[in-house]
Amino acid sequence: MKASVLKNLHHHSPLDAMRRVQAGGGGKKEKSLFFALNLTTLIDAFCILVIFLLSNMNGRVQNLKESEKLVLPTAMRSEALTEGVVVRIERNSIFVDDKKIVQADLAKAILASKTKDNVALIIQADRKSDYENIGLVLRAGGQAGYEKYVFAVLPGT
Amino acid sequence: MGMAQGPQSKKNLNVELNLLPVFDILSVCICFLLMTVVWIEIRQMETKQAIGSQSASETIKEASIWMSIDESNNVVMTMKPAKGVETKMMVPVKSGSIDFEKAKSVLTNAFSKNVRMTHILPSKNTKYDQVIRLMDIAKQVGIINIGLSPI
Repeated sequence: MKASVLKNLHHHSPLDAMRRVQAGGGGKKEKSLFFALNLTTLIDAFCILVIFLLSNMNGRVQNLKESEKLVLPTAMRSEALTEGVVVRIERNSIFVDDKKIVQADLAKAILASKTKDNVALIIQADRKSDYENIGLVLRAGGQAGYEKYVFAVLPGT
Repeated sequence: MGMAQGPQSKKNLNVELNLLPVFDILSVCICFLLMTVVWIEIRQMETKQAIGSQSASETIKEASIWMSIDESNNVVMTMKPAKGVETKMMVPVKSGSIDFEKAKSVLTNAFSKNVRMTHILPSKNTKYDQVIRLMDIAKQVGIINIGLSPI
């Protein structure tokens, strides 16, 4: 009875657990539960990933918000996007820098957003939009004194 | 290999470098870069509109081609040389949209005649993507100076 209690205690003791982890700790030769995980290859892979992502990033900043409601047209001969005041046309709503604007206040809103750095007017519209809406923005831009108009497109093939 | 085995020196030359902090930093870097990466790159097509500061007599007359799109997507291409007579050409609609192939051949022909400027005059129901495609074709041909008329 006494022996069985001792045996039970021995099995639940932390010392026994250590003995199991460290092979050779006990009398019998047991398999070590420690295993060495080689992190070097994993770090190599991570480094390659970081370099790839950094080279892809190229310091580009995209100030355009992609919207599910609009599909941009595609163009083969396009340039990298510059900074400017963004005018988004979604169906019949017009947004200037993400603020919904009434048509009557469009020129005023575009003029208010004009700064020394933002000299271009970026027009982001759905490919199926009528030119009537684009013309409205162009006219308002003309009133606000913009000369450079930029159309947001997707690179095509 | 890295162990000093000589009789004098028994010092272990193996250095254990703790790679876990490096691993952590790289993980954070990857997470940040993956979150900020631009998957779909938006590009631009540029056009300029002149603000009338110069009088008509002061501006240098340059050869240009004007493309007027009507409501049925027929394009009237008017060649305006620096000197001489204007010539008009009609590019009829092709299956509901602008005949871009024909428009391209007219623009190529205009480019060969030293035309470097174009002006697009769409109608109010012309679709935006057709205007952009026409601008794209002009750029492909070599006509970089593109003007767009508001209605």
